[in-house]
Amino acid sequence: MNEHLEVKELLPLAASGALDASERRRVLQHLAECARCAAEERQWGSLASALAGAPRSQAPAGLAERTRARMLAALDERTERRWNNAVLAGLLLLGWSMGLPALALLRLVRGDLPASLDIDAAGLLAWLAASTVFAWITAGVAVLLIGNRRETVWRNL
Amino acid sequence: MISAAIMEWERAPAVDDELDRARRRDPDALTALLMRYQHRLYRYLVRMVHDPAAAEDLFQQTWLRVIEKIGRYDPRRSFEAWLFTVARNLAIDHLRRQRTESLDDPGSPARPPVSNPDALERCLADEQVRTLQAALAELPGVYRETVSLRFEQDLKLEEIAEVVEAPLSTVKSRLRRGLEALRQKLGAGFDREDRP
Repeated sequence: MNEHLEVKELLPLAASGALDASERRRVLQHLAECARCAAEERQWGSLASALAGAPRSQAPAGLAERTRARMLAALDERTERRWNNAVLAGLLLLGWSMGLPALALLRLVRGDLPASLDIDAAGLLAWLAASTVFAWITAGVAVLLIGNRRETVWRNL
Repeated sequence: MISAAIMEWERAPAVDDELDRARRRDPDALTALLMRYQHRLYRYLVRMVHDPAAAEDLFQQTWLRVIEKIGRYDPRRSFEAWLFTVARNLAIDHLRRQRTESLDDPGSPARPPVSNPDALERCLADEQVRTLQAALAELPGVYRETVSLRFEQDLKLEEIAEVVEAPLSTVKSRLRRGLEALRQKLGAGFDREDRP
């Protein structure tokens, strides 16, 4: 491809202001010597000017206000979701912390209680630990499910 | 004069403070961004989907998505490019659902050039502007989008590359081909020398 054809390909980009410095220099140099390309460049410039100068439509009246109302509602929803998640996390923490005193209380009484119930102390502790872990897992799954559901609702807004 | 000032305000980059507050989902800052970009964003969406009603819906979805994602916006990037990327992704989803047009499909070959030596004069009047707009609307999606982002949204090529998630060389190629197709549709009479 010769210089003439290569520069001709660059002319639409030149009219769009999309050439880098070296390409621009090359085009200008060629245009100074080639009347055909200079005429072509004016035609591209004319098209670019018409595009840039065409009237620009405006967003319909009220669209911004309607969008703003939806945005504010979504922000409120988001705040509520965060608050609910914080509450759920707090409840989970509370449940966990409640388990600790219960364990301490059990240790206090386990000397007599296991014997009277004919239950092995180690077995009782294992049962208690398993129950506590099960409760935590249940609460965790509940939190995940609720959070996931809210995420779906949020995305569908 | 007033419209020129409005255009200038539209083009003005959002101030850093405003973006910082928007990233913290401050309602006033988000409202300011909405007001600043409403016309450009709406124009872009109409250009993308060819349907004002769908564009309005996508416009609202875009801002809801902005609320959802703005915490992940990187302030070192151009906010305009980021905003148009969000809108573009929604528009593409919409077009996929419509299944009538794909932005990745360059479309059917351009029609033969219209023989019309007076195209420039006609484009100077309202009717002629509609001709230009109609020709632009007929361009294949990838070209129409690039030409619109460059000339109607005044984005830099680097910003366009960010929006369309394509290399700069691809953007240049699309812009060149889009303008060539547009000129072919309008005919050969687009010569400034004919202007008074």
